[in-house]
Amino acid sequence: MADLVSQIQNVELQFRERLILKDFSLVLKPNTVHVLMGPSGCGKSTVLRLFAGLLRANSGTIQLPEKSVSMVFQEPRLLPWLSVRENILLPLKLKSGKAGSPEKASAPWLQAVNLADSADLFPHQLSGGMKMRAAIARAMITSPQLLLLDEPFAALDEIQRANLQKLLLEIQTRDQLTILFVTHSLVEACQIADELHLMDGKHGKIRETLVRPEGQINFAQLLAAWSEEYKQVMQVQSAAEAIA
Amino acid sequence: MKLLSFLLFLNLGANSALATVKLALNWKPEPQFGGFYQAQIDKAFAAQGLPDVEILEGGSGTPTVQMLANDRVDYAIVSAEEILTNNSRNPDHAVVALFAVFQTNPQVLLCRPEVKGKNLSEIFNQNITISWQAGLTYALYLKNKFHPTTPQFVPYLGGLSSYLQRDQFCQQGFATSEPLLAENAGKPGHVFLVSQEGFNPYTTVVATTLKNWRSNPTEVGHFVAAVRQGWTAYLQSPQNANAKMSGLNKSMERPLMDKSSNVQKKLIEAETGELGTMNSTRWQDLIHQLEELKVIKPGLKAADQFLEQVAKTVTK
Amino acid sequence: MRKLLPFASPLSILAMLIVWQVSANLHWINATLVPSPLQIAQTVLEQRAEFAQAASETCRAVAISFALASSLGLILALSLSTSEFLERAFLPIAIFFQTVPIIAIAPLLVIYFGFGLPTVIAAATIVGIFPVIASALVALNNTPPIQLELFAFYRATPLQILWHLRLPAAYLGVYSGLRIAAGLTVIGTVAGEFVAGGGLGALIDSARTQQRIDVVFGCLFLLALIGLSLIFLLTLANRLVQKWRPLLQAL
Repeated sequence: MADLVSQIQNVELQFRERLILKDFSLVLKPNTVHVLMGPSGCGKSTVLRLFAGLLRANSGTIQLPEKSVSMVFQEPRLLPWLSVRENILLPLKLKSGKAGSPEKASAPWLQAVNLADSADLFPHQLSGGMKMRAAIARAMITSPQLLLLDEPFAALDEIQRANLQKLLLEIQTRDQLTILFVTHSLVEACQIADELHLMDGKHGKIRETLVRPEGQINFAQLLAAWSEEYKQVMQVQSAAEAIA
Repeated sequence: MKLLSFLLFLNLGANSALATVKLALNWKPEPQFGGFYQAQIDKAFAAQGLPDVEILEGGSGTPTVQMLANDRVDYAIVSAEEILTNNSRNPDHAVVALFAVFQTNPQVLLCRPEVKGKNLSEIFNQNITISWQAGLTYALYLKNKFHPTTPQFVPYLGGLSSYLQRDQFCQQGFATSEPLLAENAGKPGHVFLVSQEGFNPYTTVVATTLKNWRSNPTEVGHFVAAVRQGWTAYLQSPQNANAKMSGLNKSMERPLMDKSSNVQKKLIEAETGELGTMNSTRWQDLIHQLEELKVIKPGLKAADQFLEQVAKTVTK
Repeated sequence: MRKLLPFASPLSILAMLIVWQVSANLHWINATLVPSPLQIAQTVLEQRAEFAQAASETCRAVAISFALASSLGLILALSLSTSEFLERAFLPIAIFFQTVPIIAIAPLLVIYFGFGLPTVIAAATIVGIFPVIASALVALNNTPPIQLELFAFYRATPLQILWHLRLPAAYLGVYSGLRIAAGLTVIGTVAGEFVAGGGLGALIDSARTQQRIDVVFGCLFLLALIGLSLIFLLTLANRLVQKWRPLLQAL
């Protein structure tokens, strides 16, 4: 199974008498940024939580990666009473009861997300972008094979978002990470996706998977091409809706 | 509108010339107040030309002397030491004694029969529990007299529940009440009169403000005459008043009330003079005792505390 | 105005005392019913040995009772938070003890615990424990779901969730409960002293019998001081905790 890191096959999931997913399948390839898009309520976050092991399907199969999975949520979800360093080390602490040598374990990641100087600060002393960087570092500290992200940059401004997208891609390239990223923004998808999966509004089936062409490509051209595809697949009225 | 006018009228009526005179008791209706109820029954107040007298029942901690000093009531039942304490601390609102029901202080210590001791001196040397209101003047007096004392002093919570449950136990009481209740409950005890230790203030004293006496000396005189009349009748024949009080005070049954009114007779009747009369010597003794206990500041005069003139019978 | 903020409380107390004293001097208030501040101060000074003895007894009872109410309250809240069944079973008992006035229960406590300090502590603890339980329980049961999901993702054990998340997240609720309990413990102590003897409660009872309203007010001031001191200590402790860990920031 070298061609995939994780997959969901023919999964059906009901929640409070509502059918969220029906006959849903998705394969996550190694060293690939998969982006998931779809109308609100189509089940994108549910798919993430299936891969995270937070939800159980009513039927179908889920194959999780051999190594660990990490997740970055929509909110940073940092614990206010722990410093940045302690927040980053939290997964290790819960796993083994202790964080080993805290300095040694956290230093590379504090460096990677550019928070080395803020290691001893507390979340309330950080900006939104800094908090999200800390959340990413926390997710990465367990050296995951698969990283799940649920609209992590939605609440940030343009500049912070751009910086964090760049950071994410750097980490992905360096660690050959598989990423499953949920977003509402086609622009964001164009910036980071290797594969863009468009989910149906009804029971979340994947209607279309758009693959980024090999080699250097013009961003505007890619955006135009994917907007057109998005419009057709999602049957939205205008390109603006697609881009939004 | 009509209802409002009616209510206003009632309220005004209460403050008009037909207003009642208020007498505040410092406990629930019991034989210690029998003469007042008898005066009501015999219409003695009306016979003296007084308006209706409303007797206000009291209870635990009813501040009768403060009610009187602050003109909430016209007359009140207080103790002699309360009169002195008020007049020492509050000379601008002085009160005066008019009629003393008890010539002998009926305050007692009621002790379980298991407690060893023939008198209070021995009792205060025992490893027992004494339950009383620590602020009572006789409590201060006895503690001072028998210093250093051995017993554990605890608050008095009313009734006899602690007395009935513990054997090395004494509690405060009134000669006409608690000892009889204890007997009724099957645990009669030893009764020690505080007066026998030299503390013998007049008790259940009818008082009014000095201001009232100065403004209405005739009315005050008639009030006292009616009270004396009531007490004279009650001592001879307490049944009617006891029946009335028994109806008002459900915590004391009729047979007990009759027994109580019998026991109190010898504490009320004066050796000389008429019912309720007082003398300077006893007031002076009390003043000295309270000064010694630092309950009052020096300077009070015995003659200012009670009205000798009113002690004589006033005839209409 | 911001510069005056630290002085707001002392200024208002001072203003109140001045108005009170002036009213007494001008005979606008009846000195026998409400003695003036100077009169009260004089009485406390004259009888300082008695007041000091009574105040130290009350302080001791308050300290022990508050410690008991806080620790037992927290332990109970923790236990109840683990089981909805237990929580619901305990509810009627809690409501009963909260609504029945301690003055009514106190004489019964004398029967069970006897006269003296044990009854005083029992009365004060009963009054003080319920706000601690109530606040701590609400706080423990209201850990933000998003944080619970984070810990579920990390496959944290129930003990890990309690220690690393629910307890620190409940700090604000617990702290609020302790502040409420502080004042109530003082009230419960006095109620206990009324029936069991000792402390400022007994002094108030004795003073009332002797019509010494000035002594009563002196006791009330001292009781207020004890209550304020306890709350001040809690505030100080909270400041130290916040300096060490910002536990009052929003999750």
